[in-house]
Amino acid sequence: MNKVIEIKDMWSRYETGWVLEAINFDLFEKEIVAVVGPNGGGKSTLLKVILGIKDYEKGEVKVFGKSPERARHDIGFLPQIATFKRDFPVSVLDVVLMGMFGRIGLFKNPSKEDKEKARALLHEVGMGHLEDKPFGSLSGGQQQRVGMARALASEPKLLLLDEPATGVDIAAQESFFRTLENFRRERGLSIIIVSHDIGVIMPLADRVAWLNRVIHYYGDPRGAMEPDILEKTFGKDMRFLVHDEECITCRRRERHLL
Amino acid sequence: MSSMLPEFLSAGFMQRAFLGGGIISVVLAVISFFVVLRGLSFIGVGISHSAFGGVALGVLLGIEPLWTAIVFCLVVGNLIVLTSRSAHFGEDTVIGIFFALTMGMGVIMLGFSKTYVDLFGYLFGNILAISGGDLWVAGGVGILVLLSCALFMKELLLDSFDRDIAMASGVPVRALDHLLASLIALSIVISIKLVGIVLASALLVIPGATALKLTAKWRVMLALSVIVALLSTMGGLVLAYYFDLAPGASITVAASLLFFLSMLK
Repeated sequence: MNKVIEIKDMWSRYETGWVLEAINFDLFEKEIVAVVGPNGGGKSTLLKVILGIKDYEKGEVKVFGKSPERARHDIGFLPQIATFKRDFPVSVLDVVLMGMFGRIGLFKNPSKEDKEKARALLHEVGMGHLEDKPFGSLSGGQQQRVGMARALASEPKLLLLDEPATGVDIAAQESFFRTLENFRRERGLSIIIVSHDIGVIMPLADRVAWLNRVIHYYGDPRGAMEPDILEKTFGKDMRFLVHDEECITCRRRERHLL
Repeated sequence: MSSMLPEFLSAGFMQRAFLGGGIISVVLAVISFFVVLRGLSFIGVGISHSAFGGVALGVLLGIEPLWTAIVFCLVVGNLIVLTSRSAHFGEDTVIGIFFALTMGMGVIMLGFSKTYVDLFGYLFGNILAISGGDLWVAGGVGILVLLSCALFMKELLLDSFDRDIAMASGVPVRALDHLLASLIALSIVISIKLVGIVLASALLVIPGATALKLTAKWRVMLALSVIVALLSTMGGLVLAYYFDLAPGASITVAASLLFFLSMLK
């Protein structure tokens, strides 16, 4: 399988200091990788470096064999829904059309075909009936689905999701991740999901990366729960709730993902 | 022909005031749309007060104050954008410093000037004294501002909605920051005649804020912002004519009343 992302010994910093140190990371075609770590651990910064909107000081970052800036049009990005301004006066359809602005280019407006394509995407994520609704009036789960349609509007090959489970109830989360799995299968998407919540995305990921400024573990989810690795990533004050075979949510999710 | 006009439009200076007020209101309303969506109200206040320094420079050098105010506001607006990007302070701190600095410089420069200046007119507007030349400048600057907004509407909208998404889409967000600061600066300078330096920021905020209270659709918000600005200006001018009030202050109070009315919705 081809490599979609290849990062070698990458370092990135803000004025307060290093946020990412010696990062080695890769992603293959059609792979789903979960990047998990505490808040402030550099997860969102890693996504921004891959998107080409955050500089890095050292190392090498290749996306589809190119620099991140040159690969932008192949990447779909879903930021945290909590960052959206709720009173921003845009309709659901407007938001999806925004995903096409980069491809449409300067001085041009979305065409009739673009609008039809946006409507089709809304139907695909189950939000077709809400296209005229104000985006701010939707629930967290609905906004997330619309955001997903927007991220897919540029026809990306790589999808980056920043904390997609935050502010969304459990049922909506499950339905969202099921849709995501379908997109991976049907569109051949490679996906990176960033989260501070281990439980939510573990069942979905092919590989997980534990990130807290450095990557403490990157590999199979089954080998990711070693106490010493988790302690390095999340600190000592960590408690686990281990689900047994009676866990209804786990079984439900496994059934959906089959 | 003149007998068909209402009484308050019979005099030439009132006709020019209404025409100039109309042009300036439309320009400020469109800029107000972005100022409110992007939360730039304080930048508006900062740039408008820096116009005082520009006017004082013009008076001191014996140049038409409108031109020095344009240059001064453009420089200060772009310096605010540059400094807030590179400095460790927040944007409001940077604006607060420029606000005080340019006002202070203005007072010092006026102290050196031997020329009489209608300071009250610059600070609170004097639309009744708007000349044919002023109308041409307002019209020319207005077309430039509106054309720039129309050309970059979708990029400005996306950048206002979510900066990370805009950057990830390849939108040149830093260039847009400078464009918007420049457009705000130009709009403020042409509004000095209408409402003055002190009150210019009111028309940069109130039309957009009132419109946002009334709708959740950006195209409607833009249209409502223009309507609110025109209603405020026309209403304010009519009130000023019949009750012998200061036009700039009447316009600002009329706009504020419309805002409070929109809060009832």
